[in-house]
Amino acid sequence: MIIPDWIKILIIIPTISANIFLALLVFYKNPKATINRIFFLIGFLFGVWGFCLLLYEFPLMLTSRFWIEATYVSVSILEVIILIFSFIFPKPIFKRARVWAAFYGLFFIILTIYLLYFTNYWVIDVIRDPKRGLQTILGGGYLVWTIAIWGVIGWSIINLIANIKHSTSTQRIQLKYFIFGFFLYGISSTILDVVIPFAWMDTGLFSISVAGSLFFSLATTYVILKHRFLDIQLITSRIVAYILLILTVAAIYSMLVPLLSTFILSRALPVQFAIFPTIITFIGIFIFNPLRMFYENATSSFLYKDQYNIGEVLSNLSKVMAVTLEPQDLTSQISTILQEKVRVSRVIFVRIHEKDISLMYVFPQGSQPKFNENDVALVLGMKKILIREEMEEGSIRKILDEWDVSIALPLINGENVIGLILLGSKSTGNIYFAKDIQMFEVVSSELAIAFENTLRFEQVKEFNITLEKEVSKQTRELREANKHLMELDKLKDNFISVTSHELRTPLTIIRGNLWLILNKYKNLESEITERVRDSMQSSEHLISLVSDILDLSAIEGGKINLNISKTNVSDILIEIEEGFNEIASKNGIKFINKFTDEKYDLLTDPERLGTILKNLITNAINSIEKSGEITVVIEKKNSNISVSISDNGIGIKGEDIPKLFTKFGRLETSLNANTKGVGLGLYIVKKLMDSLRGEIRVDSVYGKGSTFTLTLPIVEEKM
Amino acid sequence: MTDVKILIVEDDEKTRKIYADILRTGGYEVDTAADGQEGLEKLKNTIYSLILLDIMMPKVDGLQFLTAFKNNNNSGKVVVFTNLSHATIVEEAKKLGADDFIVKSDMNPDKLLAKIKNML
Repeated sequence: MIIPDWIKILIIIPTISANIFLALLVFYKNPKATINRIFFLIGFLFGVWGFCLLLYEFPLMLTSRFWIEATYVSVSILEVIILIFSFIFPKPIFKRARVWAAFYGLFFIILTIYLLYFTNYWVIDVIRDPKRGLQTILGGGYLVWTIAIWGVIGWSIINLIANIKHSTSTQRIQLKYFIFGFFLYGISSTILDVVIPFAWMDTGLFSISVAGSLFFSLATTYVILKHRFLDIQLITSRIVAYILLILTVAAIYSMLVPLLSTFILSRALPVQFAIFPTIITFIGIFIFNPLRMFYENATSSFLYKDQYNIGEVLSNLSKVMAVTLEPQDLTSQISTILQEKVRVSRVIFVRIHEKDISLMYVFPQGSQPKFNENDVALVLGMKKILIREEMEEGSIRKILDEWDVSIALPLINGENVIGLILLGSKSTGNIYFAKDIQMFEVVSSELAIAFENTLRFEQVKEFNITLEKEVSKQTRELREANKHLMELDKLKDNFISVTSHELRTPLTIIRGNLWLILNKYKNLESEITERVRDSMQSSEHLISLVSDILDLSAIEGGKINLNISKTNVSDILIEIEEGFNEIASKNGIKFINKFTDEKYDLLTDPERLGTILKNLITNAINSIEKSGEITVVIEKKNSNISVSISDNGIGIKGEDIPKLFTKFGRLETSLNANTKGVGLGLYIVKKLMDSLRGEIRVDSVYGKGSTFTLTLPIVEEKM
Repeated sequence: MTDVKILIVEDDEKTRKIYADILRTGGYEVDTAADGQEGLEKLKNTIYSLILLDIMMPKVDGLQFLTAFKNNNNSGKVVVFTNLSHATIVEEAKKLGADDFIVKSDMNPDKLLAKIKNML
């Protein structure tokens, strides 16, 4: 078969170039990696192979024989290097087998050199046959070599297949591409270089066989570079497209040039003339697009300043909507983007919530119009974006005019109306163009959802705050109730409570039993009755003593808790007098009350006041020997109330008065031997008066009687 | 007066006994309970016109009794009858619904009977 020279050149030269190019590409990608370096060698050697074949066909120097032998040598070296490559690509494997492979490789190269240069069994001769062109006469050595080289190729393929097992799924797919390329290369070379020569005795296709190397190179480059731009399907379809493009253009030119030239020049130009215009057109087609974009950008930068990239703005808006949680934040950020990119001069966000219209955001401050429900409802009712400049005259147009807005964008999520965005005109004075409107429409549904989310978030936050407040209020109340309970509990345990309880219990029992004896059994001997009565009175004495001591203990310990409340003095006095009625009547003492119905109210501790008054009355009773009177007077003077208790008893000697309110100060008078008390009564009275912020005074004439006067301030209950 | 029943809730045995006897001389029918729990039990079966209630008791104390009394809506007057005299206790008792507060040692039996007669 004779293949025209130009086809040979057309095939070999691009193959050499492509191989060298791919080799350099991979090498520069990563000069330090072993894989890249070895592939560089491989690609380079493919180039060398092509180069040798070229010179074999067109021996510009030396002989064809020399070059075909050089071809075989380079192919042998090439294959050994491919074997080495298969041990490390895509991942290093089989470290031990490498030694064997090295030996085999070495053996193979020695075999090649021996067969080629030391025997005549391989290349017998190179001749030019008139019918079949350049031919190489091959001997049996060539077959031996072929088998040996398939050993190398086979080993390489086995390594590659083994590597598949260790690869990830992405790597496997790429490896499969590579093995497929490798295989195609192997098959094509075998058919063109071995099968055809031996079966048809024709080596004319040698030069074309080198093109098979491209299968290998391209596949390997793709796997090594693994660039996401190397979309293999895209690349394949593009290559096919461009080839078709070239052929179409070539066909057009080769038809048109002779045709047109006949008309214009009145002779047909040869088709060769078509080659240059084809090439130029082809180049023109390819650089048109980059050139176009360059001019577009250059002119836009000074003639079309307002332009913005829709994709960029949409992506910014999406980002804001996805991330922002607060409604205020969302609206202000969206507004900022619209102002900066789209040059909107005025942005208003209106929130609709169950017929409630509220203003969420307005830029610039204070530029919002007055909204009424009807207008908003009408605008929303249109359920689509409204562009004032494009609307016909009508009620809605009028509303937009009144509001002075150019765009009304409803935010509707499904069936819910969330809000309304109103945009003023652009600050540049331009109208809103199609792409602006398009962008608004795309954004509005997303914005409706984002808005709703922020409002929900707000609700949840509020709910949480309310919940927190409620919980802490409940906790506080519980804690206080607990404290109160604990205090009560403590009271039961404190010294005074315990002591009073422990002392009083047996005393009351004694008193009670003695009383019972006196009251139940009527027919007792008078001696028994007398003794029982004496015992009972003593027990009474003890009881009041205990009370006094406990009071004193409380007062001195500073542990009196005053229970201040509005107290009516006359009521207390009357009650106390009732208590003393029996004993008073027994002793022939009469109470004379000199006070009116007037309200004698003051803020004080009624219990303590009672104790004071009881003490004074007791003293009064005790100082009256036989019969007498106790006069009680209550008066209101300035901001004080005074209570005076007078008796016409024995009175107090002048020199004794200072001792009166002291601790244990008992007066030595004949009556006192029988009196109860250790002399604490008046001391307690004095101390209590001090704590009530009052004063006590005594006036007495020995033999005539005494008057004790209490003065307490009236503190108005604060309203 | 025989249909007037009084309940004394008091943990100390001697005290309980003496006051029961004292009140019986006044002609009242008197039941006793040794602590708040027993007292509440007695309330289930009988209606009392007056209950004399001690504070310091085991199991269910006086204040707890008062609370339960009010919750059950029992009828009758409850008078706290104790030897404690701390103002806070008084306040608490009044808050829990006691009708009156008597310090045992302050009232000799005559006065006590007179007061009870007034109350009923």
